[in-house]
Amino acid sequence: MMGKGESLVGCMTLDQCWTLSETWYAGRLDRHYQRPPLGSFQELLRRAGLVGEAWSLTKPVGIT
Amino acid sequence: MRGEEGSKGCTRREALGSQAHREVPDEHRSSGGAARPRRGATLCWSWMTSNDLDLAVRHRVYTAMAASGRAPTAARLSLELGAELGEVRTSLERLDEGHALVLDAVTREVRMALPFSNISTPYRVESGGRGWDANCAWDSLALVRLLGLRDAQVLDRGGPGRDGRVLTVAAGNLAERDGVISSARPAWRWWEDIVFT
Repeated sequence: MMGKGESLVGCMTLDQCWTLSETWYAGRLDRHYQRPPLGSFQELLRRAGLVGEAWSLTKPVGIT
Repeated sequence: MRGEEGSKGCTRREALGSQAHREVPDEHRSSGGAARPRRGATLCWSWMTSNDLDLAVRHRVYTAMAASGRAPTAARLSLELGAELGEVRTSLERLDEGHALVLDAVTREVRMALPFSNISTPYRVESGGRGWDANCAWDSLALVRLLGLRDAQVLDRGGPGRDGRVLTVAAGNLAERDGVISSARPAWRWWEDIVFT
């Protein structure tokens, strides 16, 4: 949650966040806290409906 | 080396040259299944690769944060793992560089083990009389998932210009679904300063 006057770049609903948290973190205690590769996290974001420049994990082309 | 004295779970082999060789139990070796240290065992880190030590350090940090909400210090990790303090600090730096942990800029102790925060924050998860601090709103929900909490209160204690809020997790479900979580930076800039993010 952002304070007043702060710009909002990437927004997600609580529902999206709850779903994403399950796919990203559930069961991680058993998997020795290994994080999936960057590519798969991008896919998780996409599946949660989080697309566009604000949710790109790599710098978009053309951005300086 | 601390790992050579009274080490449990290791067998002694004949020394060659100036070094004492010790067998590293299979459970302490790196593997695709991610070996875990036995509870109470002192690891023979001298034969472990850097990756083995990093895995052990990260696992100990996460285990401690899940159990108590706070990370062990480097000195504590050194004691528990039977590793030299300098090696543990080097391991922590590697984990920080790899974004597996986040170290405090000054003390170089653990600041974050995402989604856990090692300091008090406005974002807190409480369940069954226990509590954990999260780094942000997203991490507070992630923390519930990570710990597999069926029932919990997810607290946002608010801040300047921002009201607080309480979310309820009941029987594994998030009761309230209205609202948004936002970030001041695009995802590709999160790690420029993850503490700010």
